[in-house]
Amino acid sequence: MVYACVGYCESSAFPSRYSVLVASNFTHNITSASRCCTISSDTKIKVRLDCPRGRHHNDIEILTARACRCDMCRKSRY
Amino acid sequence: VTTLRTFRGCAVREFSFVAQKPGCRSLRIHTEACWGRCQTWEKPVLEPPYVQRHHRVCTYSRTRHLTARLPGCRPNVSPLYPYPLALQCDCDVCSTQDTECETF
Repeated sequence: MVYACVGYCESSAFPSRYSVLVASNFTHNITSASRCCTISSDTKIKVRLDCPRGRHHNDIEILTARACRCDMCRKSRY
Repeated sequence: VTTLRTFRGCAVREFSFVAQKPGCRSLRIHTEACWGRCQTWEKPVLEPPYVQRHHRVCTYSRTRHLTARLPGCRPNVSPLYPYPLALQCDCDVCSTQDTECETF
């Protein structure tokens, strides 16, 4: 059994300050101030995969979440 | 009863701010912006990058672009101040194409 993090963190979007407008050449007219649910602490656990008829087994390591918190939102490749 | 403390989702919400620009007097503008709590998650996966994430934020999905006229601008300074009005908000990826994405 591995643990993930899921939750509802606060986010908002509003008109950008003038300094942001100028710095972005007037392309970023919206500012998003947000936090997202993240894994703040994790650990590795070993999982034993048993192969058919019990002749072989293989140990793999997989991460599991130990703690979650609302923190920086990140782009994901998925 | 849903209060702001327990609200889940993403909604249009009244927003007022002071438009400030060098060379003009400032002006308080009342508009509509976005606020809420979107479901976000991170889960471990076996392959790189080992964490799969779903990070969506409450942001504008339909926008009207408005322009305010600031008072008391110097002769060489345009009084025009562009700002967005949210017509609809949704949970979506923060696009750095048109949005300043910040953590609060």
